[in-house]
Parts: sequence; structure tokens; C-alpha cells
Amino acid sequence: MNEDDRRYLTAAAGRIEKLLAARGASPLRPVGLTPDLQTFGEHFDRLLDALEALRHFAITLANGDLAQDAPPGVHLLGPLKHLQSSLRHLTWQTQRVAAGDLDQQVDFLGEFSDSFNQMIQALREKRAAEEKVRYLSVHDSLTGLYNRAYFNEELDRLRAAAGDYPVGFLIADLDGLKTANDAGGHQVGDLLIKKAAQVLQHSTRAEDVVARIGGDEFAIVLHGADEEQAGIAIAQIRATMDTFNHREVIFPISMSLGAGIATNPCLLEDALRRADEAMYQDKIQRKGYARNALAGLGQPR
Amino acid sequence: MIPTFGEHYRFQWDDLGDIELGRPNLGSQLPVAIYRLAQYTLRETLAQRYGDDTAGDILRDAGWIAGREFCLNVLDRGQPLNAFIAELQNQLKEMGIGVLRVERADPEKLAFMLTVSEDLDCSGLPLMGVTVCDYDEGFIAGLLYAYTGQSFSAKEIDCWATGDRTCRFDVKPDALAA
Repeated sequence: MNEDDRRYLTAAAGRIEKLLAARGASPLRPVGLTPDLQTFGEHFDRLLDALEALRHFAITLANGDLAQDAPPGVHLLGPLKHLQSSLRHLTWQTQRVAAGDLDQQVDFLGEFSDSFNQMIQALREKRAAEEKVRYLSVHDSLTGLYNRAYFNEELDRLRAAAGDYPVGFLIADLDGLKTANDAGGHQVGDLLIKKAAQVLQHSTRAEDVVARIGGDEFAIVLHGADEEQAGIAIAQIRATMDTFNHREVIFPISMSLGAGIATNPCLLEDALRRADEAMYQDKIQRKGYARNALAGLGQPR
Repeated sequence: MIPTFGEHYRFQWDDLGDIELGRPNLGSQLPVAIYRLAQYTLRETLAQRYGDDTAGDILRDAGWIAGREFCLNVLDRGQPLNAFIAELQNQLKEMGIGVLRVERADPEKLAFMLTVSEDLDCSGLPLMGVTVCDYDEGFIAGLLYAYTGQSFSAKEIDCWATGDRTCRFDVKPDALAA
């Protein structure tokens, strides 16, 4: 062992101390050592390089920086690269959750996976509860149709959307509900209301809004409908009502109907008023029919 | 990448046959080692005859056909991107092909950094110093071609064969890679 060898070993011991103290330890790049020690020194330098890369990458990860890529060819970094990959994927998953995707599941981070998945489950339950509350707030519990609150929201939307015109309104009123309630009880009245709701739903398009806005009163928003299309919709409702009454003869229903068309947002209220007036005109004309229909309540045919 | 033959190849999904009918006792599964035996002896033969680069290109083209056919026959192409990725993850896992994860995704540019752990082709291979998942590169490019109609570049940048524990693919449309 020569003097260079002794100096190298002292320096190498210093490097090891630095590593044990979690400090950076640069390679020694030895030259001129005795052959065996020279070979060892070169291997030791490769180890120092790898450990320095490991230290640097570990600090980067510990600081939460996932953007830095590990240097290639340092196999000691394998587990940390794997962890980095998992954390990057977790970041993407979290972004997806933030965007509303609650199908994300984690199965690669031990106890954290369980906590993450529990959080997702809790978010799902919260979303389901919110959806239920939202549904109940805009639907009529008896018929499943939209309620007056939703109909009013729809009117607000139409007031703000000048491009969605013309729009047609139908007002439908169930004839003789009070008489039916008095004669057969509220169960019969509810049955007639539900039947009227079914008739209206079967007669309209999926994009139309059918709402129960009062005890026996319904309103329908026919998007894009002019007078001719509103007339067709009324005819369709009458045809469906006939079919239902033909199929279910014990509790026939009769509805008075009226239509109004708005060609711009300023005419919305006017169109609703005209639909209401038309419905009352229809009711006056149909009173005789309703009386006849109600006369058959509860009587076997 | 799109192979020079494009969509004009003879292979059809039906060519895989009725495995249930043909293997009523042995079933549809087989050890990964046997799959790799076929894959790597085929690779070796191609490399012996045409050289390493051409062998890689041929496997990439084959993977492209497989990825396209897999997408056309197994996945729902009508769904939005994130739902498509979720279904792909599930199918790859269920079929034992690998565990796909997304490290980065740019849905506007259709650029992704994907990893595949427990990869059918390479996980557990001895250290070779070079990436070996040419077939996977083609598979990803073919799959995304079937989904988007665009030509994709899928470049493996980490592989078990280079000492990593997961395969990492830099994926982007060819127009963006150029």
C-alpha cells in the first residue's frame, strides 16, 4: 500500500461518514492507486454516484415534487420510481375525482388505499343523497311529474334564453276532481290525478316539460312548438286519453286543455295567460261531458 | 405509427377460434411462461433472419393489429375518453395483461404518460439494458387509432428489462410527436 492508497482510504472513509450523516458525497475519481484498490475505487465511485442520485431523488419525492424524472440506469432507484409512478397515478385519480368521477379506486398504497376508497364511498353516498334531495325538490311526489318549483325554474331559463323560441305552453285541468273526491274519497281523486299524469307523459316528447302545478292543474312546455304543433299535441293528448279511458272504463278521466305560444321572452306571461283562458273556454264547453263521465263513477259496466 | 399495410390485413377476431368449444377441459388460460416462450422465440427468429431493428418493427406492427382489434371487439368506442380508459384498465387487469395506470393525461392534445405494471410481456425479465416491449408499443398505438382515428406514437421509456419495476410509455399523436 502506497501513500496514495492511504490517502484514498482516508478520503473514502470520509465519504462513508458523509453518507451515514445523510449528506451528499461526491465521487473521488481516484488515479494511480495500486491495481486492486484502483478497481475497488472505481466501483466505490459508481456506488457513490448511485447513492447520490438516490439521495437527490428521495429528497425530491419527500418534497412532493413528482415532476422530476429519475436518471436512467440507476437500478437502486427502482422502488422510489415505482412509488413516484403510484403517486403520479394517484394525482391523476384525484383530478378525476375532482372532476366528478367517483369510480376511481386505489389498490396499491396499503392503508391509504382503504382510506381513499372509504372517502370515495362517502362521496358517492353524499352525491346520492343530494340527488335524492334535488329530485324531491323538483318533482311531485304523487305523480312523479315535475312540480311548480321546477316549472318556474324552466320559465326562468326561457326568460334568459332568447334563442329557444317559439315555445308552446299547454295548460291541462282535470275535470270534476272535486266531485270525484266527494263521491269516491281522496284515493279515487289521487287515482284520477295519476292517470291524467300518465296520459300527459305518454302524449309528449322526452324534451317537453310536464309539470303538476296545482291540485288538478298541469302545465306543459313544448320546446320549439308553434300553434300548429301545439294543436297536434292537444290532439295527441285527447287520443291518448281516449285510449286510456277505453282500457280503464271504471274511472274515466276528462281534461280541459288550452294552448298559448310565445315567440320571444317578453311574451311568456302572455302565452301562459292565453293558454289558461283557452283551457277555461274548453272546460265550459266540456262540462256536460265531464258530468256524464262522473255519473259512471263506481258503477259496474 | 400506422403499419404500411394500414387497415388492410387479413386477420379477423374470429380467427382466434371458439376456444370454449375447442378446449372444453383445458380451458382458455395458459401459463405466462408459455406465452413468453412463443413471444420471445418468435422475436429471436425474426431477429436472426432480419436483424433486431426489423424484428422490433414487425412485432410493433403485430401489436398494432392486436390493439386495434382488441379495441374494436372488446371495448366500447362510443364512450368518453375517461370512461374508455377506465374500461381499458379493467379489461387489461381482468385478462391478466397488466395493470395500466395513467401518470399524466392531456385530454385536449391526447397526450399521455402511461405505466403498465405486472406486464405480460416483460415483468420479471432479466436485465437486458434495452426496452423490449415493442409489441406493447404497437398495441397502445393501434388501440388509440381505433378509438380516435388518429395515428399515435407510443414510445417505451422505462421497462423491466432496463431495470425498472414498471413499463412507462410516452404516448401522443404522431402529429404532436413530430
